Amino acid sequence: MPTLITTLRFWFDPLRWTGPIFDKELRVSSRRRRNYVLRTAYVLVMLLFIWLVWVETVSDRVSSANVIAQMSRAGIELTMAIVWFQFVGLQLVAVSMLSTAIRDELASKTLGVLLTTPISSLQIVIGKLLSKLLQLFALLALSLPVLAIIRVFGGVRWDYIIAALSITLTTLVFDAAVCLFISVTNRKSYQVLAAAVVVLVVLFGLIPLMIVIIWDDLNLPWVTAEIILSYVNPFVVLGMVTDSALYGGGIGFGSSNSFWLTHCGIMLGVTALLLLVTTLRVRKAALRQMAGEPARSLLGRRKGRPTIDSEHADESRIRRLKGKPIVWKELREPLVRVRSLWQKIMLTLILLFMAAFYGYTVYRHWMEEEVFHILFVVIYMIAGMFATMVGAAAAITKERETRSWPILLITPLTDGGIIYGKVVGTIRRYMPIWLFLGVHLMVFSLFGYINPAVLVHMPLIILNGVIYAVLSGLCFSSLCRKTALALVLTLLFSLGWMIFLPMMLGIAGSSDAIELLISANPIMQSGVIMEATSGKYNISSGNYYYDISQGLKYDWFGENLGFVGTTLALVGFTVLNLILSMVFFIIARTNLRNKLFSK
Amino acid sequence: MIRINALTKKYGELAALSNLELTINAGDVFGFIGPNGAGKTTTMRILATLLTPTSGRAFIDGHDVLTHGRTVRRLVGYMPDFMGVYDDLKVFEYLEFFAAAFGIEPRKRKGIVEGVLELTDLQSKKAAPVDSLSRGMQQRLGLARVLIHDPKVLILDEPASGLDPRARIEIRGLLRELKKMGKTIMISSHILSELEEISDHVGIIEHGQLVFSGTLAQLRQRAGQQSKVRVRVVQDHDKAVELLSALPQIADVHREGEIISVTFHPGQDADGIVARTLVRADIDLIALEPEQLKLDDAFLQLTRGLVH
Ligand SMILES: Nc1ncnc2c1ncn2[C@@H]1O[C@H](COP(=O)(O)OP(=O)(O)OP(=O)(O)O)[C@@H](O)[C@H]1O
Ligand SMILES: [Mg+2]
Repeated sequence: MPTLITTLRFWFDPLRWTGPIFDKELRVSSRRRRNYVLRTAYVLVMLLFIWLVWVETVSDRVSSANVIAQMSRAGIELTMAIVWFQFVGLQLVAVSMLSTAIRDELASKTLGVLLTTPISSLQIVIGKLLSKLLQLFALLALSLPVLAIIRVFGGVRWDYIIAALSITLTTLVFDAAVCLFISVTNRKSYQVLAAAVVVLVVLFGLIPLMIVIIWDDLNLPWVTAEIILSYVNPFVVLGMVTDSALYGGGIGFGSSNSFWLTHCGIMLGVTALLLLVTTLRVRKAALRQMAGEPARSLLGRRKGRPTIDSEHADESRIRRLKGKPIVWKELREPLVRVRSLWQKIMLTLILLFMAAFYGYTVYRHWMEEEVFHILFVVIYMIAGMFATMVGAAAAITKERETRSWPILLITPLTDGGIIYGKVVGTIRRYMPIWLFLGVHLMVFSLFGYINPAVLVHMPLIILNGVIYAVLSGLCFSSLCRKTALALVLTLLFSLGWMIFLPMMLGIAGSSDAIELLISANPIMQSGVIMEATSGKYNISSGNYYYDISQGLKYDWFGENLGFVGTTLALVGFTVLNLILSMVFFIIARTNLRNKLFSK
Repeated sequence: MIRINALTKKYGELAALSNLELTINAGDVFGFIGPNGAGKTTTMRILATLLTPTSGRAFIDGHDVLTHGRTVRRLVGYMPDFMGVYDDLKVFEYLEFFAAAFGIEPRKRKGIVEGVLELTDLQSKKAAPVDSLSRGMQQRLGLARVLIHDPKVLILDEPASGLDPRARIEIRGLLRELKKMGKTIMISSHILSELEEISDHVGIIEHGQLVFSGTLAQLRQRAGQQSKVRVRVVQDHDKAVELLSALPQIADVHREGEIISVTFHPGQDADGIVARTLVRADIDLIALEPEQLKLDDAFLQLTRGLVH
């Protein structure tokens, strides 16, 4: 018997497969307070969410006679709510947790040391992945008892829950693999985080959107688009699974609706591929680090960088300082750094694609419809605000991380002056994105696709968006030691009041507050403005060049505020925004000198 | 120039500094010495306005560090024990950035930066990225940065750590230069002998308290109260030992081959009596040399080597 047990233990000992990294990760993570905070916060938010859904679905209709039917209805809605909450919430947690995984090792220069031990690259990658996934699974498991209780009410079939959990799991693993893949070659964890968010949004959001547009344009059968998307897009597949659970139809293994299994298979395959490439690159990154070079992007700036021992390095490359020092320094790290051929090709391709897409939309007369303007402007707004938040959230913490912060603080620059420099520097760095938006608005209003009234409102909205993004980012940056955390908090804060809070309020049924919150959101505002001003219809009604307020319908929740009313409303929001930004500024200033030295 | 009164800094239960008292005169090179965790870095951070003390006060040139932070920052050049460098700047750009941060006029910046580059012998690295410099070069760059606004007071936290012997000597030369320029320099180290040549005054800190402050001579006197001489005689070693042991001023006589070590009682520093005694007894004296107590021994005697 003992031999059997030893054999079993030999083969099933997780350490054999994952190596000491896994062990170390678990040890360290159990010591981190933030993990407990995370878990508690997650459970609390989920309970709040469940409670709200419960209140919404049950207590409203308690007088009705058919209690059983009601309960089963509530059961279904609660289950859906939990499933979707976990699907979205855990992905956010996964991305923020995984983005620091390999970075931490590279930053503390331990990865190179690790590779001098007999640990294999695979063990490092798998160890990192599994240890973080284990924490995610623990969060996922927290909902199982709740789901089991809800099952008592009846309504939802187990195979739906199994399908939903499987999709969630594979998506989490995929997200994790994407983060690890990016984190091997990227220098800073907040960049990994930002890049992972962008990649996932493009992969799961923009590309499906393009597919839908193309399908619609070419009049292709919808079924094929649906099949393609169900295989590669977890949001779509979870939606389809939910649909078939709601409106009948089996989704079990035997039935024809087991497309979700194919989906999971494909996602796992892609994940495995990503992990393989990551494993191969870990070693390279680590070796580069051991050689004393800071690990940089693979696409990165190797050439043209003066070597250490070049006695008289090229002095012409020195750039003289102009203007305020902090602003100047912020701008030394431009939005896109185009050094290597690769980067030039990439940038050219992206620009060409955008130009082609613009050309095609104009050619197809799409730009005569407001929906495309809304789409473009909202995407620019989101991209611009996101990028600005990333830059601002990193502005202070990255100096804390590199320990260059104290030596800046011993200069006679005032605290307000330092923040001012960071604000201006960050805004200017992300100017190109806003420039695209500005050009879009100006060119299309010049050629009669958008009513020029847009040029009154949009600048105000952009200004508000930028100020809000930069100051909220700086505020959280001043409060944190690590950039990744600052970025997560910044994004969560915005997601909180822009999406989660209105959703919760919506469930709780308070509509005035929702309308106010949504109207205060610069992205939504830009949508309203574009809906009112863009497209041929809005331009042809009335001779707008002389009376721009004629015929424009600004639809704020079914109420047409008109040009003047909208202007006043936006001014009001600007005042609110400025007050909020002052609060952010003051918080940032009071915390500027904290957390200088790590414990 | 620097005055510290009853300075206390607590990290939770642990008192990194407890009622530290310290004065450094203008123009002095003050060696601040202590074992690991003694509180050197903490003291210097407080002086550099980066850390708020739990209680007590500190003044630089009469300005309270706590309440007049900006004035103090103009007066002080602080070089931290571990310095972060910006990834994307070149040496010249880095220094010009700090010149601008210290409010030096744009016209003068280039000249000043060239000046400190020359002083720290970094001209050849002018266009090198800061993060490509070796440890020693970065240390020198740190010194260059500290000098950029021509501060009256330099606070240097272990500037020589991580440097090779040649670089250490070079830094020492640089510090001597700076002393000649009339700067007040506070420099910390674990190693007393390293500061021996350049510092006029030393302070030894342990457990956040100053256990000694004074000149090097005073330190030697305090630690080496029991002075020793080494005596060499041709023959009659045993007789010599016997004679010397009988003297009331002498605490201990100890023979190792040719050499006899004589330790006096504290306060008794009478080399003469040894020579006289031996000569009178017709013992041929070849050499008589006072044995200098090494500074590091003094350091060890003063500190208890307890680490918290
Ligand atoms: N941020 C902190 N949090 C908690 N304790 C700290 C912190 N910084 C320093 N300490 C503690 O304060 C004491 C004094 O530290 P300090 O860095 O001043 O010593 P030091 O003399 O500079 O030592 P070393 O020679 O190693 O540089 C140490 O015990 C240290 O552990
Ligand atoms: Mg120290």
